Amino acid sequence: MAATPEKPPTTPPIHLKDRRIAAFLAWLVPGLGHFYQGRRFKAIVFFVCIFGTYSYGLALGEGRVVYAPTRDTGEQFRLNLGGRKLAVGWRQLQFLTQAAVGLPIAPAVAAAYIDPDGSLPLAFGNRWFMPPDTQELNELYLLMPRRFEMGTLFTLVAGLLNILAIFDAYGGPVILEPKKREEDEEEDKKDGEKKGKEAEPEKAA
Amino acid sequence: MLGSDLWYAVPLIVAFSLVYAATRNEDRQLILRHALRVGLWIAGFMGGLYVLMLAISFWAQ
Repeated sequence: MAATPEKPPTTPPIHLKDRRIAAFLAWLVPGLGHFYQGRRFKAIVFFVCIFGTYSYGLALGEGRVVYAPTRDTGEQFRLNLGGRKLAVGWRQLQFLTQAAVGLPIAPAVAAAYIDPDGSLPLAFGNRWFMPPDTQELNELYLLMPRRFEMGTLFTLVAGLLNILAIFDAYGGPVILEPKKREEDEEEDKKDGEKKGKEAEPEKAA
Repeated sequence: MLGSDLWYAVPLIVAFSLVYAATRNEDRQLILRHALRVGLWIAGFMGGLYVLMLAISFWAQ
């Protein structure tokens, strides 16, 4: 008797519940949307990887790499949207990407818009999350050149990764089909040829 | 090499490969296996580039 080939693990049926709520929760806290859907392993993976990357980046930049842009938007570039020209600051774009992490950027919004003077004991009492002006930003780059850059990079990557997680919560995984074995492909070919031969006499009739 | 900035890439590769694999599979084992493949591929690709740059800088002297 020929040994049956080992089947690859099949994907269990996925119940996405309310996709929109799941996507919103996935944005709010990385992994929360998946936890709501009962996909606990993925929830843990997303939370640890995305929140971990964000936190590590924030710590590297001593809390100064995540800030909501206020008046001083710094350097800008122009987007041409169907004839309409839109000026976008690099810092706004940076914050938009970081904002994909969800709730963890809330202190930055609070620091910029609720407590711009830094009078409230927000975020560890230091100048964490406070939007720097251009001069302060230059000083930060001089003080911790590599760590500041790396901190910014890590928080940006965390935001981009959470976008993937949000799509996964909304639409489920992009299941990759296992590669077909050569034997299977040959069988498919033979089946196709057989069907072709069967169809020929019918056409002739 | 020990004090190199390249070490910053390690947590990024781990996080990226796990998240990427998790968005493409549902089964736990498949996620881990796929993440390992992706991680090794990225590390290999970066390592290859590193060696290439090293060689170019060696010959350029």
